[in-house]
Amino acid sequence: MRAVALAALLAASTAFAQTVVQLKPPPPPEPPIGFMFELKMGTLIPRVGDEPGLSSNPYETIFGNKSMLFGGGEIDFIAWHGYGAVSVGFAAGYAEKYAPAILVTNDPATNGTASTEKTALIIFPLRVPVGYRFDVLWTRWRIPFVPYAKVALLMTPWRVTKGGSTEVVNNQSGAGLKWGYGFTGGMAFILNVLSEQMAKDMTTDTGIRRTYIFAEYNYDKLDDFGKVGLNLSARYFTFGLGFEF
Amino acid sequence: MPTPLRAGLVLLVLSSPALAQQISLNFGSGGANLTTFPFNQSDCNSDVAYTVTWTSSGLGSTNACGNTQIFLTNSQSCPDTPNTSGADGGTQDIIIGTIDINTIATGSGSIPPQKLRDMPGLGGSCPDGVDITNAICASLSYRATGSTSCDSTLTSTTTLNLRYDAKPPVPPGMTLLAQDSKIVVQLDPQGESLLRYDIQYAEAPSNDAGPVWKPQPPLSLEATKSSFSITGLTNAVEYLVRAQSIDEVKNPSGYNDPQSATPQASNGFWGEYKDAGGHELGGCSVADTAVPTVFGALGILVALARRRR
Repeated sequence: MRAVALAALLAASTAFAQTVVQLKPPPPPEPPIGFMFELKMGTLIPRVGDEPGLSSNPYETIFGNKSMLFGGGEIDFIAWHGYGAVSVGFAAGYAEKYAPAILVTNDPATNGTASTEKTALIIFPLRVPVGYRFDVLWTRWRIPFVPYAKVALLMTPWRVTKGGSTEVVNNQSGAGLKWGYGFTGGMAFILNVLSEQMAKDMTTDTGIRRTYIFAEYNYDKLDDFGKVGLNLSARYFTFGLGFEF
Repeated sequence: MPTPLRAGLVLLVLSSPALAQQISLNFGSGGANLTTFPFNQSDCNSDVAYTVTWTSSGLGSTNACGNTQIFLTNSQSCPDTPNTSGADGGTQDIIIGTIDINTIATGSGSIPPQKLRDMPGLGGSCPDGVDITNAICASLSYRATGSTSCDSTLTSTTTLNLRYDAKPPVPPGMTLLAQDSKIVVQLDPQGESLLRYDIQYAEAPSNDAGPVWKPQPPLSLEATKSSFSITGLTNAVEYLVRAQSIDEVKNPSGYNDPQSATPQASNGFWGEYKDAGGHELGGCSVADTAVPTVFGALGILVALARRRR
């Protein structure tokens, strides 16, 4: 009877050991290169009034203190991945602001009042950013925060419309292209930490290794590198969703 | 082939001719989508004619019991057979074409041109101010599949309509928006089905001479649109604007009561910027060489992406 009980105990012990001892595959190594794709939006007010020599701020006169709504996307190539990651990319966006034009009449009662015509400032911000992402916090210690910084060359086609077509004043068309540079600092939160299994499935199914949300501060200097003219510089926050693959 | 499937196939083949027996009518011009032929008083007075084409299928000496009649009826829908006696007290229907059995078996044909003014609702005249629609129909007595008697009547699958429209449309509703060197005219069709609007404007006269309307011919706006801008006007000058509706058969409504508006100069953002002393000239100002830089960077990205694959 004792021998039977001992044998049963041994058998159970063996079975227990077999369920506990499992080989957990090591996490896949971070690939040296990859891509990131981001969708972002925010609001901004161009610093038109910073132009020297202006008697008033025309942006405030027309649009008040209301911001332009900005939306855009960015794709980055991860060129180096070691202690952090270095990327180069291209971003494109769109921002607009509409408001009534202002009547210019000799009648003090109507001069300066709102017209039935709408005027708009429309900009298409383009940028070529080079960035560094300190993703060591995530890759080594699974802390899901990635601070990053970027410097970028900016190119922004712009257009002013009145009554639906480009506004022309003294034969000068209200459209052009502004150049500049910009700095961006931000923080990404890696969503993989919320569900590791879902993240692995997504990697297997779609190739997307990381999904993240981010917030960033942009310092854009858009004044043709200091030339006196329309100043579309802005300092603003953007928020968005990103994918690394 | 399994027996049930074979039986089903035989049944399908036998029933197909019964399903295919039909006659359809079309106007000779305008294609299959034109089911209503509208015309105005001028067309009526000018003795404009129309033609009708027909197509048939599944009909011939084995099942057609007589001639197919194509007729005009004094209503907007088709009866099974033409009323040629007037026994019901209504206007007699007019037979405009007869197709014999051998011809109907050929599958298609047309009837001789008919004058629009001969439709029953007009009775040969072209009266003012009326809007009359008559239907063009086809009718054939035939033997239905499995029957030996001619007790079935086949009518056309399409009902064509002739519409005599001598009723002018209502003038359009109008709202004016005075803007910088232009007036935006917003028009409302007042429920009418229209072809276009005609628009004229004039400087408001300073005496009793009356406005001088221009341009001649009037500005034209398709009825699918509701807004038109009269441009090139002088700011601070009062203008009168009037418009009329033109319906589908080109009946004019007559002009509505003129309204006035005075264009006013205005500044958009660009005008306000220049007034504030802005130095910007517009255009591509600096570092045009940077354009290749941007596109070069894009090219590098694409190349890297391809290399990675």
